[in-house]
Amino acid sequence: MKDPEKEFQIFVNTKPRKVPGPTISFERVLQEAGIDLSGQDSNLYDVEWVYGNKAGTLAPNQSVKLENGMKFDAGKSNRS
Amino acid sequence: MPASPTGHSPDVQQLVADGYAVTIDGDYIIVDNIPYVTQARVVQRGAIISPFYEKDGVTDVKGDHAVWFTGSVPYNAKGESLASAMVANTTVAVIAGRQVLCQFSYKSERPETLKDFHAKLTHYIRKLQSYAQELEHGVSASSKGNGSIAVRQQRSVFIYSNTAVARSGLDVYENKLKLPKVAIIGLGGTGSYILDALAKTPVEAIHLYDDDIVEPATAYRMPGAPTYEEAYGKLQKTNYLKDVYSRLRTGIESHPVRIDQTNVAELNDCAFVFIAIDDGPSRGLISRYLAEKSIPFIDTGIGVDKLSDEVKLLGRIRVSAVDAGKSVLVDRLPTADDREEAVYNNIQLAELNALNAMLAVIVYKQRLNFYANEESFDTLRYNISWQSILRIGESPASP
Repeated sequence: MKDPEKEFQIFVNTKPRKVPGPTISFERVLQEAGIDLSGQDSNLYDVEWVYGNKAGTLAPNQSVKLENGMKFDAGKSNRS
Repeated sequence: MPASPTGHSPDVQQLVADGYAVTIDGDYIIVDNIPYVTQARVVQRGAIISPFYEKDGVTDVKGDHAVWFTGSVPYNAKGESLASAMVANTTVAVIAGRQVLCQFSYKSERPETLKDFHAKLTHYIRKLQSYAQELEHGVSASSKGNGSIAVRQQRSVFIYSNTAVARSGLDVYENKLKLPKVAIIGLGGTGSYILDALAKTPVEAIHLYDDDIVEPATAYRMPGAPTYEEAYGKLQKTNYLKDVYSRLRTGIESHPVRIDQTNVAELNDCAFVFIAIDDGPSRGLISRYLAEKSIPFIDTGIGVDKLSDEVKLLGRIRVSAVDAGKSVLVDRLPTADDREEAVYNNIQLAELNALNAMLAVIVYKQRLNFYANEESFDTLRYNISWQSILRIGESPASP
């Protein structure tokens, strides 16, 4: 039987993290990256993920299905 | 047209004196009216076109023996094809505005055939003409005393011409990049590298907007190597960069001001705009304005974070292309005010600025159909740690 609360081993900004499944949100990725969104506009941040040959992005309020070993990158891209 | 050889180099003057119909069209020299034998053993006329290089009345063949021909593959009087003897290829192309049917590459044993343009062109003309004369006695490309020269100066933005373009016949590609006016907003690391690449394209005018001055820190982000005096000279970035790139080309305009509500309308006649700034609200104002005016633009951005425990940096690059009529994408740009002191303010990462700029210019050239583009996307994200470039379409991949 699949356990919906099963933990997944992922990486956020290179750091290993254990998070509950089955999906993870944009906001939770930022939290795991140590980014405090309070008082900040979430559109300053990008979240991107890779897993094998698959890749994608998360916008605020979006989630993605977790896989063990999935890698996430969370941060800004607003400097010149 | 009466011959008026004044001011031309001796080899060009000699062609006219010999009685040839010569045209100099920008980076090409053309001789018209050259008789040759067709496959049907009929004498017809065609033009030979060669890349042309002249500076201060001195020409240079640059060791290039190839020419284009507007006629079909030539034959000798017996009806034997000269294809294997002198034709390099039969790719139909447009060179100097004319359709060419083949390219000749007949390397002579005699090096003097590349001495100058008279030697190079008459080498081909005599060969074609000699076979034609076997069929039609006295037929000739030249008529002594009736030589002519027409010069069509193509106004070039470049101070010295890129002769490689003419030589390779790539001007039909280059012409796609001849936009009337493009603006770069923000001339920091990324913006100055965008200028570096854009200045080398034949866009007519490049307008630079930035109210900042060159400082030692910014000098470490720019292409090239500013001198001590330049790094400490409190020069406006746009003035400094205009001076540097005006060594190469004309059409660079410096606006040492910040774009705001009062002057954003100066962008109205831009064919394209690059945004390379830090400030979110300015990015919002400019991008919303451009989207409303249906002016296509690319917004750029890099981000760097410290992995303090490992003493390493995480880095990412974004290129967002907003085509005319795609204003919905503006809402996804980082337009909020970012008060955080960026790691990036204190560390110089010219390679990230340069890659951000080059990806932006490549996407720009794809939008102009210069490069092939088989995938639709509006955003590229490069991630250093993964060494990947992610292409994001109009609707982000839903989870």
